[in-house]
Amino acid sequence: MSAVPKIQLTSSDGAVIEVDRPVAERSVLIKHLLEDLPEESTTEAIPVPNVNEAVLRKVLEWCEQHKKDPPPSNDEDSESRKKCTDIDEWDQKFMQVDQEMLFEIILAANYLDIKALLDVGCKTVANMIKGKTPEEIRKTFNIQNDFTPEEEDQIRRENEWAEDR
Amino acid sequence: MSLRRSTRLQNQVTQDGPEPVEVQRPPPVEVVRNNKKRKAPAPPAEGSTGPKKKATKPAIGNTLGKGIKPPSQAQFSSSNDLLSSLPAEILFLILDNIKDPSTIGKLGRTCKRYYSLMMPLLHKRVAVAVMFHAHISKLIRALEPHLTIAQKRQLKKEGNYKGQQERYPSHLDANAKPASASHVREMVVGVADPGRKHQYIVHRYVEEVFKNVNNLEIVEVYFLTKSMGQSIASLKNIQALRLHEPEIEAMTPLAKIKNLKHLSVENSSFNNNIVQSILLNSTSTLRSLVVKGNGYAISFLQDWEKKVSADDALAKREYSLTVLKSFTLSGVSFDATFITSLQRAIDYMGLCELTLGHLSDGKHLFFQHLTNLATSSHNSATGISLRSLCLEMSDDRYGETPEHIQTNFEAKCRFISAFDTLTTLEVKDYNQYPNTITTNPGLPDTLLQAILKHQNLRSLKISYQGMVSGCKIPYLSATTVAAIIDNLPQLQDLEFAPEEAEINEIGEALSRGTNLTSITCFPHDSWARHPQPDEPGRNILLGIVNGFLSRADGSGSGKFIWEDHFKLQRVSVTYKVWEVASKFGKPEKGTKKKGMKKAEKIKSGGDGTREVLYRDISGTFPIRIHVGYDPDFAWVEKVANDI
Repeated sequence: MSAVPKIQLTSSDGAVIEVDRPVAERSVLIKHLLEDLPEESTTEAIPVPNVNEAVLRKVLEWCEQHKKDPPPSNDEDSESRKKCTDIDEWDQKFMQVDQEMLFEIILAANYLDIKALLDVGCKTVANMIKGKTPEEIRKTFNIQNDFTPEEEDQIRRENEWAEDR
Repeated sequence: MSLRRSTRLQNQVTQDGPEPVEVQRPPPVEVVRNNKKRKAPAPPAEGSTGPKKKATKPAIGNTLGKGIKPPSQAQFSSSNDLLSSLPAEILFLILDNIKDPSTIGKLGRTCKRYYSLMMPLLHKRVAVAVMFHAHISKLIRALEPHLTIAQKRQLKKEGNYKGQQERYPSHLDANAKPASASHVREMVVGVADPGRKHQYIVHRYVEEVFKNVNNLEIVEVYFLTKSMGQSIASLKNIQALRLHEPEIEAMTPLAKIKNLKHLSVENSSFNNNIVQSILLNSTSTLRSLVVKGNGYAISFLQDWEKKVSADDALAKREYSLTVLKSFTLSGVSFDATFITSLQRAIDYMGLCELTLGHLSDGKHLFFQHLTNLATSSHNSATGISLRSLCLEMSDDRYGETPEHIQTNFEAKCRFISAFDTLTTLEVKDYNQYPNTITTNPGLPDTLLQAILKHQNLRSLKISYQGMVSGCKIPYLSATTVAAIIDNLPQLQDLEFAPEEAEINEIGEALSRGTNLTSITCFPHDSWARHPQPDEPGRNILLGIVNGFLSRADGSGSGKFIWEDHFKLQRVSVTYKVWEVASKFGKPEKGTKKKGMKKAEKIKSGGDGTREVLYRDISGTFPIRIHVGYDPDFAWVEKVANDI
């Protein structure tokens, strides 16, 4: 059973997390790092200075779930990703976290270079914006309205053309 | 807890924020006027407007880091707006998923920062078309935001229409160009056909807007007036131009356009000299060229040889257009001079994409020429770059003698079989034959063998637009399909018209295509029959899927999972599209797509142990009622990705 090699990651707050190497290699950053390291030094813990323990564990949970996914092919990559707007059921549940965690996951996915996770995160945020009125968007993200009523009125009129599409 | 993360996120901002992101090119130097009308009036502190504007103008990405720092940090601790804390590149990744202008507009209305970020996105593309009188008000509403008050007043004088602004604020500068005009990068103007009386006002609005939108990079127009021609010619950043049915006179100023990356001139008798002049001005930049004539235009390169020899740099080049990657040609006839001029201009074998539509007289000479080039390049060191070829076959039918038809057909086949580098091939409308012939001629071996030379084909379409009345389609037999599948192992997409009676055998043959992800059958016989059967095309879907199911090996233990055996995900049969899978993902909450039908099951094998789900998703695509010459944005999207 112990055929799968393991590696260790150190989070920004000092926690050491052990994980199957193929799982960690969902991260292109770590994958390239491991490729560059000489064989014997892969036993040392790899520091992940930009990600704390809670977030790193969450990200690795996603990597574990998606370890069998085929790597995205380069040529159609961007196109097919854009076309598909649905989010996988498991991913939807996975993304049901508070906003801070959601944004941290996105940042971590960006840093660790996990395209598919970054994508899911961005789609989740996009879905939080879609279909909302400006006031609802403000509420969702705690955005402070710094327009005067007159300005708001002016802008609303400017953008009227965009509304009836 | 919140402190922990917020600190980190804040660090992220300072780390990544200021990094410039290449999302949009900064507009050219043009001085930004302090435009009180369009821009939301500045916040009470006058001092902060200057730097803020500067920051928002150059690159929308920049605003995140610089410029608004004081307010954003104050905001950060007080309101904890996490969305703003993301680096610009990620914010734009999120916005990539939001295409509709309405949402972008609403996000822009939430606060000043998003306003300055969203406006360039919102106004990036302006697209208008007036097919009916009722569209005029929509056009006016879409264009007025880019006009000065003075222009709006003037146009109102010229014609009173619904949609025009009622009153103008008196304290604003009537001649100030709105900031939104400087954000417009792409302009698509469709056909203006609201009736003779009203065409004037449509033209006028478009003309006035063209005077203001100086940062345009991509222009597509279905009509061209003199004034528009002048405005387009004076654009500093124009990179892509598409003209449909341009007026010859209005084209004159365009001769001075330089360094285009994409040019498309379509239909009617365009001004050959202007096209030639633009080409000569863009020899080192032009990446794609589309020329569609009306069938009579002989040469848009009349003096090419002369002009090229007169220029020292050009004279030395083997091919004038050094970076051309995509070439589309139709509606022209050929003679030896034209073929020589084309040859001087274009390195056919260095192209990636070649599309040849309906061609007129002398086309066999042209294909003979292409064949010679392919044959000689085949053995040369530089090789052949051509990967994508689209060939119209139906132009061998009308007004030509049977001998001509045969000569042209053979010339085309010889060209296809002269090389083997294609990954995408489309053969359009091959041989719709008269009803009076009773036996289906199918796909002749000459053409089949030519196609099979390209062993790396990923996409093969033997496509038909529809059925010509009084004609039949040479449906492909199971043997032909088998030959295609067995000889083209890389094939992912296949489109063809199947011989319905052999659908089970065809399904069996298709199931050997291990890389097939998408199969399209169009058209098929019973679909065209009257009366149509219930659920036309379902028999074809079932035939294909059953073929796959009976191939699947490993009948042993465990549940049969389609995806473990096949890559096939989609089967389309004559306007119907089905997804095929062992399990369908659930659509997101609240986004349940309209028109998604319930999944059904196909069981197979005597014991019925193998099954797979399929569902009709045809209804989920927007129904395109393509009215007249409404622009479809395919060209704009394509070139926007390549400038």
